[in-house]
Amino acid sequence: MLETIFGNKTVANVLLNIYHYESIHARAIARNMGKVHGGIVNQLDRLEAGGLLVSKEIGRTRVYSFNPKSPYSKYVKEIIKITYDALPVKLKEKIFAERSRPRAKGKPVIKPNE
Amino acid sequence: MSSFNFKSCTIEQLWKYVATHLAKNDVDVILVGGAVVSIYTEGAYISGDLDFVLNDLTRTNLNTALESLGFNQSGRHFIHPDCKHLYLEFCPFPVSIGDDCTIVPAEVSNDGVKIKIFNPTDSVRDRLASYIHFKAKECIDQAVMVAKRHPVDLSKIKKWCVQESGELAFEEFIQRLKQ
Repeated sequence: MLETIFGNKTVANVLLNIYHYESIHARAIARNMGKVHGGIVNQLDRLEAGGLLVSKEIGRTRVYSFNPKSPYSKYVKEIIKITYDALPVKLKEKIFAERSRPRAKGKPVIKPNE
Repeated sequence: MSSFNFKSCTIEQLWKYVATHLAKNDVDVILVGGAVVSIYTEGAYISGDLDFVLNDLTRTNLNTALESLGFNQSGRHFIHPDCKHLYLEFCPFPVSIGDDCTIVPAEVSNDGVKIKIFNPTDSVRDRLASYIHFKAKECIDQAVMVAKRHPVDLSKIKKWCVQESGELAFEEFIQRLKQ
């Protein structure tokens, strides 16, 4: 349903990623989606130009989040929440594979089933 | 050719020049953001850009009108080759401050047309929105600067802050205002 509302699958998944992580950079979304970085940036730029998203540079990375000053943000998030809440936990782990929690420097990453 | 001095114009001069030209070309815009603070503080705060919100669902005539003044579009911005210190940005309809979309801007008559700008109360709310939502400390400074120079509707600001979960920001704003 999200792609029907927002026009295409890419933008729907971009918004789902931002909803899940709250703030995220384009490469992480691209990795989660298995897509090229450029296409994701185009969608992020479009959503930012429309005022739905905001971005800021942290170090050398541009991080995007919903624009809390936009009157549309909370309603768009409500729509995304309907789909997000319906996702099974296993599927969430798969489509939001990028980790956002803090991780100590040098701590090894051991992925299950590898 | 226009005799407007792009090289050394102030924010207020550029706003009046651009907004008047747009109004004459049926482009309805409202000046918002830091440029409003600059105007209400008579330059005590300096912004590097002029943020306008289109008060119309379409961008009809906008690009043509700006190009006729010599501005070139660069992404979301419009830059004039002679104006190195300021650029323009246009945000889509509607104008809002947080969840409040019922904004009534101040109107200033200039060269036979009316041009629009956030009133001082809305300028304060706009700056507080950035403080509440982005934790931008410089924005509460700007809100105080405007409120110290112009009468503002404190009850409206307080009510709005509560709606935006910014009660503490309002208390801090009032404390700073009393200093």
